[in-house]
Amino acid sequence: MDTEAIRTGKQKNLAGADLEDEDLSHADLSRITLSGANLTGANLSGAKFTAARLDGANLMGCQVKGADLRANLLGANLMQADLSESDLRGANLRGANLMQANLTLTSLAGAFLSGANLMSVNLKGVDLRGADLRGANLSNANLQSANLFQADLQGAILSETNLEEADLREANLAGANLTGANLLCAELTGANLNGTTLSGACLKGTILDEKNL
Amino acid sequence: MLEGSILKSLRDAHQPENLAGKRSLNFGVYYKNTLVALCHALEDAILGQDYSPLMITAFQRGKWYLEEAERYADLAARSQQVIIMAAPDSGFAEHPTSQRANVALVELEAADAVAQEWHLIIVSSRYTAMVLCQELSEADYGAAGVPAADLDRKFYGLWTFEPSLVIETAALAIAHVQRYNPELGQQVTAQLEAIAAQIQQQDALSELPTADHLGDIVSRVVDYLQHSQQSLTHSLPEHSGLEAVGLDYNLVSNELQAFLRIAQLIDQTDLSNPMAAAEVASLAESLGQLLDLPAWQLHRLRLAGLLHRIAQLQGAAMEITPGVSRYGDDDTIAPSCPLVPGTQILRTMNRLKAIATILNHQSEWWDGMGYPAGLAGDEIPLESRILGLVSCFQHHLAVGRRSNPDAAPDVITPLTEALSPAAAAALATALSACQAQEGDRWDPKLIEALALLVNGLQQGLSLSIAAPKIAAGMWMLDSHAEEDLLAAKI
Repeated sequence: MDTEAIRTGKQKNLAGADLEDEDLSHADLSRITLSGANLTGANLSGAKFTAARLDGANLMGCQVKGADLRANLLGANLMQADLSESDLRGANLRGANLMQANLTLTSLAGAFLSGANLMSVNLKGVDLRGADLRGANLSNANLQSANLFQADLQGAILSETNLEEADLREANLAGANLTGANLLCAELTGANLNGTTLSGACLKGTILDEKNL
Repeated sequence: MLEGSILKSLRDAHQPENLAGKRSLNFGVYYKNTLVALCHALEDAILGQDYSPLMITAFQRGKWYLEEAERYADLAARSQQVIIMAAPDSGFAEHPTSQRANVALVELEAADAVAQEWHLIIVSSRYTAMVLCQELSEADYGAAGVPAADLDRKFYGLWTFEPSLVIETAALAIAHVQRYNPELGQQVTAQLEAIAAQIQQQDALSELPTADHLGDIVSRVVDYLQHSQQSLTHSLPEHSGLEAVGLDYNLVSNELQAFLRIAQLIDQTDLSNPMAAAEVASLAESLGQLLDLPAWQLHRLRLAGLLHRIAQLQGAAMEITPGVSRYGDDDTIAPSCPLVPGTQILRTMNRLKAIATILNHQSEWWDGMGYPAGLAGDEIPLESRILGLVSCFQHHLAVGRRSNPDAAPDVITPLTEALSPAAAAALATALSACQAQEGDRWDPKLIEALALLVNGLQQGLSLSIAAPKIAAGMWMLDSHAEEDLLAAKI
């Protein structure tokens, strides 16, 4: 595969292309089409994917550290990808698989993660303000001191999830399952807890509006 | 939270339905190591000072107090009264410190919930501080179980410098003492009332026990927490991995909390502009978004916004916001690398070095006539330019609200509600005030972006202005936090 043509922007439509293990680090790939492409093991660190199409792409085990991924990643496979320090604000990650991905210091503010698989993912201290996490599976994930201000977690699975010191103010937790979750010192002022399951959850030092229960 | 505990009494008094005139509490999680470092720092602040405080402590067990009893002899010598609450252990009452005239022991019954708590409450007219915590129960540790090492034990609660909250809690603690020793209870109630009256009088004279002298105390808190981190690193081989990571995170989080709490206190004591930090943080972040800055830089801008008033702390001779002083008015300022003293406090924490630089240069002028370094144009770090402009804009907004109460239908969150015509006018006035200094004080590109933002606000764009959740600020510390913003340019 001629990666030079991709780097220089001559090739913009690469739907379904095979880019396994290629090096596209620090390339400007904004508005590129990589729908359904195979990018497993590729090096995409520091690359710019603003408004790019990566829907259905396979980025399993990719190095994407520090990349600008404000892109369409609908249903993409990001298993075991290193997404640390990447910019995923407002990204479309609906139905994406993020299991075992490294998401330290990423920004997911306003990202669309409904139906995404985030089981056991480490999201400690991650910015998820206003993110759409409806129906997402976050069971066993680590969301310690994460910022979930105004996030939509309606119907999300948060069983055994670590939400210690998390900011859940004005979050929508209607119908969410928080069985056995750790909410130690989390703040839920103004959160919607309509039909939320909290059985076995640790609520020590949790700030709740009693009227929302 | 345990029934009958002091932490629960305080929480109940701050439930949303009882909140009138009070703030909701900022709870956090603390490892025992963190608490030891915090308490030592807050206690040592009274040594070498003549605060002569009232100190009320709860040690769980007499043996924990005995570990600190030598230190408490020195602390008692500097205090008007020290109260030690603990379930008695052998030697507890016999220690020489316990025998001092102004040290009173309260032997807690085994069933008393306070015996599961860890408290340090320091009240004086010029310095108030407290740590108020409760230990996790066995069930709270969940599947991982109770940690084997004593220093890995976890507590939850809060620590603060806020005078009103500390006095409120001291009264609750004294009520508890009263049950065991009515005479002692009455005596310290009188002492607390006298201190509260002094603080109120200072309030009236605007001589608040403000953040001013707290600069040194915060430096000490950060120093002690860092020291704890270093000894943790040294003991790592024997220490089990996961818990060490958790403790390290907890220590760093509390270093950051120390600064956020000071910033919060500066806001609380400025009744004319009590939401400055939260509002400047949101405005700065929004402006950064308009300029399409990367996410890590937006986080840094937000944190700089929350901390921006720390630059005004002790020694910061010139007032920052109105910025009337110009470089060149005073030839004694050396142009090499002058620093605003208040920002130096932030440098005690490595991960805030970039923030310190941003705050240091927020008072530069676009034409090079500002201070402290007389930087001009793009020499001034972009974030400093944004922060300077936004805090000036917010200052004008606050002035506008004061002179026209109609401009702020909701004083607390004026930028989140649908704007009344008066509020829209206040935005326009604040913008014009900034536009008048375009090109000499402010970067024209930023004025343009601010005008766009104001236009958006007038069209109904709303900003989320929320005070920070102090225990959860780590998301704002970014990977570029230690970079030298000026190195590349000078």
